[in-house]
Amino acid sequence: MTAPQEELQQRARALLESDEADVVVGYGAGNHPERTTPVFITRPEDVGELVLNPFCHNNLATWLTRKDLRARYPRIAIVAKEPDIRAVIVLIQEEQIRREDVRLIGVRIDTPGDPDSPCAVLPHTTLEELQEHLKTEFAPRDLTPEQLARLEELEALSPTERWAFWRAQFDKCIRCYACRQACPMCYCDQCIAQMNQPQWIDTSAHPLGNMAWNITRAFHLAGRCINCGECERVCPVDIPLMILNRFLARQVGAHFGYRAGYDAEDYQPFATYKCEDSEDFIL
Amino acid sequence: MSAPATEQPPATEDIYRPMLLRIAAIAHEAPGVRTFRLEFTNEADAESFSFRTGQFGEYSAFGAGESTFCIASPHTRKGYIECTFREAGRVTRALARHEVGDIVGFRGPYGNTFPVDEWDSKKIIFIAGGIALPPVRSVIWTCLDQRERFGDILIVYGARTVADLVYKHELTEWDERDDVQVVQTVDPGGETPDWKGRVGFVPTIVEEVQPPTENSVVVLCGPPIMIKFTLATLTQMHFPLDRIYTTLENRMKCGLGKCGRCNVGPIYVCKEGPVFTAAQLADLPMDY
Amino acid sequence: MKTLNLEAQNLAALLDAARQNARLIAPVRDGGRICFAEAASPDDIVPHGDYVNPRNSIKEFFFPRSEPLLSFARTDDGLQVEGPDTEFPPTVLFGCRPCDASSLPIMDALYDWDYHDSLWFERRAATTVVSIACTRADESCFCTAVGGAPNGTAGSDLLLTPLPDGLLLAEVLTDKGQALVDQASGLFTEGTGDKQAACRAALDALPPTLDLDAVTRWLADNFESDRWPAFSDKCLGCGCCTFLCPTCHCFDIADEGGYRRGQRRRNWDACQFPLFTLHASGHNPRHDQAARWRQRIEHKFNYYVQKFSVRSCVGCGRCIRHCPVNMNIHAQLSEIAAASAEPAPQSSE
Repeated sequence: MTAPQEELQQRARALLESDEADVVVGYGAGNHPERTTPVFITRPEDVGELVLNPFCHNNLATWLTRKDLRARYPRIAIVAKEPDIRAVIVLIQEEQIRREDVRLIGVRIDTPGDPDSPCAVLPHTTLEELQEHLKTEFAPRDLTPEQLARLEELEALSPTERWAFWRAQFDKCIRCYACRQACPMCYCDQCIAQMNQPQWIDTSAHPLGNMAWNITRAFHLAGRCINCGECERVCPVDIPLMILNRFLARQVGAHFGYRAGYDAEDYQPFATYKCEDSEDFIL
Repeated sequence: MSAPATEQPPATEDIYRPMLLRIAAIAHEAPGVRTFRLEFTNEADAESFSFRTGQFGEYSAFGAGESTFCIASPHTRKGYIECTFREAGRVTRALARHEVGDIVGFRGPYGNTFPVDEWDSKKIIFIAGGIALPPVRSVIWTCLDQRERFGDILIVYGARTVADLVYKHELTEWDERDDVQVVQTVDPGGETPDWKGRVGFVPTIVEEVQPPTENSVVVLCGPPIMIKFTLATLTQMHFPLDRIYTTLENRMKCGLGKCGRCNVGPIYVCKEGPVFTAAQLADLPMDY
Repeated sequence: MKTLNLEAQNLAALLDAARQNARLIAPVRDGGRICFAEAASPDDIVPHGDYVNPRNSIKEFFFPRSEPLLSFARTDDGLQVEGPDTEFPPTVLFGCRPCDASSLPIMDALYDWDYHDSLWFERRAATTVVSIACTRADESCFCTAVGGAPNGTAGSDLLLTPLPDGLLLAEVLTDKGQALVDQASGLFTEGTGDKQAACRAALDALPPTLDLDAVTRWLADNFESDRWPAFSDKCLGCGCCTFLCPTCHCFDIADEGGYRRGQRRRNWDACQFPLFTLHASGHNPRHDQAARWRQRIEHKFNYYVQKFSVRSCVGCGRCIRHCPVNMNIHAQLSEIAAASAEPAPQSSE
């Protein structure tokens, strides 16, 4: 066991023994050395199940808005990677969780998916400290060179070529909604895709329905997506959803000077209007 | 719009293909509740169609979808079927916009039936609440169309308010017969100044009426809460659970045992139901 | 049932012959995935040694993810309704694994229960299934746990088992299998081979058979159990497992279009979705993920057994391999089988 993993387990034990949390949601071993699975630790003696490695992929903030779970565990602690902390901040901004019920064990995974990546438990324990860490330490490395290159590769295509690219990608969609269910920012009790009066989005997995679903979801995430990449990882047909999400995030940054999930006190661009908002793209 | 309906003849064994029926009459039963009398547009369908009381169908509003209603008319009447529905969602709202002469689709009949043929000489006690009278109405008329086969017939029916009672004309018709006893009730607060029936929840009224337990069967349909309390009352009166019949309304789609939506434990409501005895229900997991 | 030998290098020639009068569905590369799709040429087909199992199951070639049931139009002549096209092209489905192939007779039982689903059976009739036995398995495979085998024959028309010396053992299992062999009879020779030895590595890697009767018994008695929340807390409630599963068959029927013109379509649906059982009244019998996950396990290992005497699971492992949270149905079944053996009374809510 690594030192960071042991430290993680100690932090979890402390939260349970001091009765600050009813449950610690973290990562446990999966059925393969390169897989992990969410675990729900309620007893201090079970913290040995927790692992910390570069395959801790799930965004555990997704479980903060699960009503069935929260009814059983009102006070909840989660192991949160840096993007996952951003998700918690967005949930606080959108008043979906009460910060006093949530504890975070912040962790840093330098290169998710790389077996040799260093992993560490962040020393900060309060949301303010973690937020400060995100702004100063994490923000510069949020968008990796590979991610940026992929974005620019697509931007270099003509609109017709880009449409053909996305048409081919969305044709594959089977409407399993894994992207939505894995996303911490998708917490609507009744998703727009589940409404039939009117039927905004055809439920059929045909090109029209798939286009409508994926584009609508991307729009609903604009200014809110925190770049955890889970939607793309879980997609069973390998649609590169994050290209679209990162593109929209860049647009929001450019037009509103805003990045999601860095400041719980910040106003969200699509939930507020400021007189100084640029209107160049409308007029 | 009374334009004719035309269709390509269905391929053999196209189990998802509805028959086309014309709305011959619409009765407005209660706020949001309508009865459609439907006639077959296709001679061959009209000739060959038959069903047994208790069965249901999938009714189409083309463009909106299909919805599940029981066949509310008795199988003793030929040439038409009736359904009664309340506007609740997309399909029922679309159906509510249809007019006499419009075409709707029908797939069926599906499901099991009330074993009326086993009830010779028995007393039949019908207990229903609100919008759950339609499946019971089919059984009532089936029995009344063969009145001599059965013993005393008692109908206990209640709704939230007077306006919400469905089949108001038929309730009066049944009440005026001397071979049927009818007890109508509305929930406390639901009565009008000239209301002549009782006031009280259906389970309470059932207890007041004290239906006979010897040589009788009960047909019971209503919202879950009414069923729960009425069953409790009947059990207190020592009604055996295997002589109380009810219908289970579960979310359905295909109606013919393939889409998986309606299953409750090992049974499919659309195939082994929707008619169950209270004894059978007691054996099912709480999955409905 | 006849056994023949086929040289591995003649596989392409066999597929070329098949392609003369059938479309060819086989594992092909699509970006980083290997998935069953129409193969333009045998060269596009991924060699069977390169994959354990393609990403998608073969289900979609018999039960598409979305298909029209009817189309309608309202014109001045009235309402016209037309049924779907039920002419399905002859198809050779190649490179399938025995687990996927065995899903077909399992599903036949449901699709023929009282009402005969032509859409399923016409496609079945038009398709020849050529499976390839597994010489290896990964950590998510568990066919043997549910009564299957890496060299099982159920559902296949022709089963090819790779033998050590560049040969394939060809078991001709049905008339359709024979018809395919007849198209290229020159490629086959009389011969045999040791199926078990050929699949030894797979058999050694696969888990032992579970006491499935014990599992069914436990499920029948434990509808209310606090194992269900424990099993399902991490379940996201997406449809990944359901849609990738060869034996999941739940569907939705939805009208699209409008008043004047439209289609009624049949689409894949999942009991894992929250709205699957929602009543118009707002009541939802399965209102949390524990109830929905319970339904999945109960249906596959208890209810389907009661109805059709067979489990609705072939152990292909896709639900474990591709689940966003690595849900492990095999591990849960093992736990249930063990619990069923315990003499102590079951815990209940």
